Amino acid sequence: MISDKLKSTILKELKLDEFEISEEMTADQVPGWDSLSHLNVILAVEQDFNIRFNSYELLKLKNIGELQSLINSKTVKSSR
Amino acid sequence: MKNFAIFTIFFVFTLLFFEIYLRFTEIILPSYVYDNKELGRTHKPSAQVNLIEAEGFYMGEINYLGYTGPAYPKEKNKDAIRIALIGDSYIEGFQLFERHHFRGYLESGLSKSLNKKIEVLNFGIGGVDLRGMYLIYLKKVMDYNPDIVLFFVKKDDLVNKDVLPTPEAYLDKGEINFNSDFLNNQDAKLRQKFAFVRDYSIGNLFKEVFEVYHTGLLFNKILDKLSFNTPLNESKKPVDYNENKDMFFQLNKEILKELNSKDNTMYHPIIVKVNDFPLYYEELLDSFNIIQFPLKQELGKYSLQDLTYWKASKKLGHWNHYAHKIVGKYLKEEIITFVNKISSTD
Amino acid sequence: MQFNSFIFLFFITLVSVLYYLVPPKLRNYLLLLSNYLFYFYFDFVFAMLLFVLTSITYFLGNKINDSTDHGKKRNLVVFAVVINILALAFFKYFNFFTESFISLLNLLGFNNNLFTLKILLPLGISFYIFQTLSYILDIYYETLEVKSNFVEYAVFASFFPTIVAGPIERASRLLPQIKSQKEFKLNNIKEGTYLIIIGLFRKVLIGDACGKIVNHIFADPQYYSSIEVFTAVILYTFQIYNDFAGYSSMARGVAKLLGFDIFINFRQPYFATSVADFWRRWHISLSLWLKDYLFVPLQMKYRRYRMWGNIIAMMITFTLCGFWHGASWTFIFWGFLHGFYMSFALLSVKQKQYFKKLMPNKKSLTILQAAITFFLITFAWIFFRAENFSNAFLIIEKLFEFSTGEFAFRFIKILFMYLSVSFLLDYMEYKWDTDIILLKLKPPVRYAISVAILFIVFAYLITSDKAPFIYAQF
Repeated sequence: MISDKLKSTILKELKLDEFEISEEMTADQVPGWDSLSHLNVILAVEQDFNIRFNSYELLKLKNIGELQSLINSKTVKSSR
Repeated sequence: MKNFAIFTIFFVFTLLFFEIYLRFTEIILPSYVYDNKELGRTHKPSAQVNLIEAEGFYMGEINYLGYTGPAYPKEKNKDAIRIALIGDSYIEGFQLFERHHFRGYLESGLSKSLNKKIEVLNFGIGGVDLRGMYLIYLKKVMDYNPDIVLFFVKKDDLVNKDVLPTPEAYLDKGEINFNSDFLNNQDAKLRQKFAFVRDYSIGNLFKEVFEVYHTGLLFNKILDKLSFNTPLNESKKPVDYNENKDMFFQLNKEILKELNSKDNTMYHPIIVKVNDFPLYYEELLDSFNIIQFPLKQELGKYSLQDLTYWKASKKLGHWNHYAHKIVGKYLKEEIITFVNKISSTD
Repeated sequence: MQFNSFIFLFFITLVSVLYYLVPPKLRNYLLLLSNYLFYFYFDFVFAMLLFVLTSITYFLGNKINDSTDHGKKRNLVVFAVVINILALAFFKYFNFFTESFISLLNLLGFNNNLFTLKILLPLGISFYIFQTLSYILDIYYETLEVKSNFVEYAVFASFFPTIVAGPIERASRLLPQIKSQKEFKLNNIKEGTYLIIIGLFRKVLIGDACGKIVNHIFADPQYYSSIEVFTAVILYTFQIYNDFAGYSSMARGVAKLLGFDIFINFRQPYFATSVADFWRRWHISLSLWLKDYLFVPLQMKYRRYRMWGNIIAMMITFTLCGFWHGASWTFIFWGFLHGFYMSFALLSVKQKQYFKKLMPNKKSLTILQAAITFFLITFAWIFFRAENFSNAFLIIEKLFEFSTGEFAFRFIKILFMYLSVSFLLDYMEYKWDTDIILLKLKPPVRYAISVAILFIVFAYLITSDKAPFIYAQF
């Protein structure tokens, strides 16, 4: 399940009005999300969720669903 | 049946495409030589040439009169001094562009120094020996009424080079004769029959394949045994200085005698000694009055590396750009001396 | 053995035939044997090196996969990467580093005679090290799900069609194919054969042939006029493309004969409308490798610098790309130049938009973009080809002399012919969206054309000295 917050962060950064994002979707399937805008999207996620990723975690991500799981694990930690 | 027809049509069509492709890219051009009845292997007039050999890169053409360089007609310009060059592949110089050939340096250098019109005609062709040079002199060069004829003689020109179909020179009662029968042997007849093949790029390409096969190297080539650094002509027979030593000496002696006798008339034959001759030849030359230019002394001042190294192919070979400059300069000096000597004795 | 040699053609025929005769279980063993036989022919000693590196990488790969502790994983992966890079660095760059170090010392006033070793470059080392590194890194980043045994991995690491000069395959693509049963399919033989034929044509009759002129003019530019040097520069652009693309086609074709599907490495690179586009069309396997294992990690590391993070990652990636090609400053500069082109494009997006609006229509815009891109790429190639900077500057100087010679027409004619044929091939690939263009023609037609091509290629190979394949020295 992709949370609304993640979805809105992505759409806002890529300047998209409406686009369905599912768990199995990969970055290049989202319009405008290429290797150059990738870092902006990640930064936006870090900012909006107030978390920090390390490179290894980022490079392991296979699809947006895994990004969501990663965010969940970090926000669960920080809310303790 | 229909498929076979289509196959044949497109096969021919593709070969036609390749004929055009090979010609336009000059990967391989139609042959620039042919077998002349009198002279044997000769340059084909108006043929375009492109040779990117193991050594250098030559792009140019044979002029419409059948020799290299600018085409000066047979009728000599009265105010000009006309110099003819005869020699083998070193003089032909198909390793660098004409603009870097010593012919050009000689011509422009002389015309500046002597303040006269100078015409230098290059009759050099690869593979000739002294007999071949003499034949060219008789049958071709003399028609152009040169004032000076330079024979570039190397040590290996004094023996049988036997590479090309040429009329055999022989002595008959002390007279030099040329045997025109050379075109009647098996090999030559085959060449004549298929001579038209060499007028096409593809034909010329397959003729070269045939040559590889003929020298027995086809198998080696296929097995990759010939690497990048082994040029084809290393397989050719090495020059044997002892083969028929006496016969050649007698022949060459007659040739030199002939040249010697012409010294008093219009043409001035000059022997340019490119490298060291056997002692008995030196003695022979000295016994005649023939003018000699000891080019070898000039060349001896430089290393083989300086004069014959080709950067693009990293090997030693014929005279390179630097050598041509030196040769041109040397000949210029010698000819100026010679011309002054003649005019002072006139 | 060179791909464009008869003994190699004999070799693949033999291997292909045996491959399908042998029971499927033994096929990987046959392949492994063929791989090493192929490598032995080139490089007896370095076959050992290949085997040693293969074994170490496999062993470490398993350890990384099995370990659960992230810290341990990380240490292992660093160790594996370092060993591979050190091997590459030693054989390829040792002399470069010592010579540069000596030059630096000399500049500072020290006179030193540090020794340089006569080190031979193992064939294909840059390629196979990158291929094995991708295996290790894919395990680390958990991209690779497939587990393979040692024989399967060894086949991957020494795969003879691609070991000399790529394409650089990924474990996730090639290992599954190695593991699977490959039955005989006539279609594979067809496709493989036609790929080899087109590859031979490109490499031998375009690449090698025009390369001869390039070699002589680049060796001594001072003897030639501007038009002639200009021709050589443009011809080099097409030489390196056709030489490499031809080789890649042959590699793909040979692999196809054995039932493997390999990356397409080139997609009409000179149709590119930007340098970025060029890198999506040129040596695709390398640029993807650099993107996945170098650019993206660097980009992530520097993401806090936003646009400048992209730029830093870009410059490092491309400069290293240049360095990968060869141990010399001209290669590094070539890479740096491309990094510069890419960075400039990133920083000038707004300006580009403005100019785009000025163009009358889309077609003229595309043509202009392609022309500018071609010019930029060609200019960079000068440094790639030149033996050193003074050679490169001499070439550029000659170009701007604007001198002509008596052969202007002939040189332009030669250039035009090579370009047209290369362009024709590219256009057909583009139009029919395939690199196996011969297959698009009807059987009797394509047989006729293939046979004719082979005739001419073989005749040419027999009568000329073989030109070594450019990328094999990497």
